[in-house]
Amino acid sequence: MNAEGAAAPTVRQQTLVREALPVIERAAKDVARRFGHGTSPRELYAVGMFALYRVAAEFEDKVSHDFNDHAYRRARTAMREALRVETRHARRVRAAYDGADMFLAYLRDDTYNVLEHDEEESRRRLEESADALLAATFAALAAEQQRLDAEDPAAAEAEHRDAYEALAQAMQRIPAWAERLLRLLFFERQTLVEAAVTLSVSYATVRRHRDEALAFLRDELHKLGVDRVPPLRDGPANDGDDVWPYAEGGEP
Amino acid sequence: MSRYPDDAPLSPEEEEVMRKVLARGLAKYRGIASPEFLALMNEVGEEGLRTHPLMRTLVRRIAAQKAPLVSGEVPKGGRGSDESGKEGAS
Repeated sequence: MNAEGAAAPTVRQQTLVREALPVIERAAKDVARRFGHGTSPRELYAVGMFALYRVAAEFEDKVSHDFNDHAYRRARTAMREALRVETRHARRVRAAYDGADMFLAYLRDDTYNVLEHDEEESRRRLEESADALLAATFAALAAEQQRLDAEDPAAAEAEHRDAYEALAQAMQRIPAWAERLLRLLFFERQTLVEAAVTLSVSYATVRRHRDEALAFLRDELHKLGVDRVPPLRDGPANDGDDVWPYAEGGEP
Repeated sequence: MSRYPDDAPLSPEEEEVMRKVLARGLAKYRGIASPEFLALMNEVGEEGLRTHPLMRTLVRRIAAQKAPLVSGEVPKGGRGSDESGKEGAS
């Protein structure tokens, strides 16, 4: 143990660190280019070296196929963490890479054999891994967005207000039958079966019309600059009155 | 020593495999995620498929399957075999 109580690196850990040095240098250049805003790779290299020693001390063969890959991703995460002064967009970008790198750092498949498995099996495994990578990235992005919204309630409020106003306008622009069906389904809370009875059409027809009506609405919302549902807000549960801003009278 | 991350450029066939896999994966998020999120997920996913050893191996393996030069039934002895087309002809 050294003076600070940490165990001295073993020979294996020292070997891992030595072999990963070029990887940390590459990670520093990459993070400086993408996220550095003037920070030099040399400064980030120091952060990466610190992370590298920590990763080497923790590393077990069962963690990843490749120590260098694992170290590369963990070091990049540590470097981005060191660059926390960011814009909202930059924070989303960083969150996406953090989510992906933490997933990829632990991605391995011991049962795959490139000589034994055919194209179909390889494709299945690739799609499975890619899906999981995208899910990890999306989850990280959504979490960061929630943090951003929590930090800036005025911006979140404005986004909700704009979305509601756009929804009211969009509802005026879609065909009357579509507006009536959406009103039945989402304001009067009828089921598809109930809406079919109300409109005197078959269940299959009302289901098809619902998809078409939503597509109309989506297109109109896009034209009005709304391309996503505003994030959910904490607060008292809706009593239904403001679920449908385009109520009778058209006041959102 | 491993020279990870492998940044050798992908072949056009490998690029195509990667593009299709990501497009398929991202399709599930259309209408849910904003265009900014989708663009970021595509960027990050592309980098993951390009650089992660397992992902890259799988992309290469799939792209290595050459398209058949001719259509039709593959003979028992394999395409190009001298025995091809002769089986069962007697």
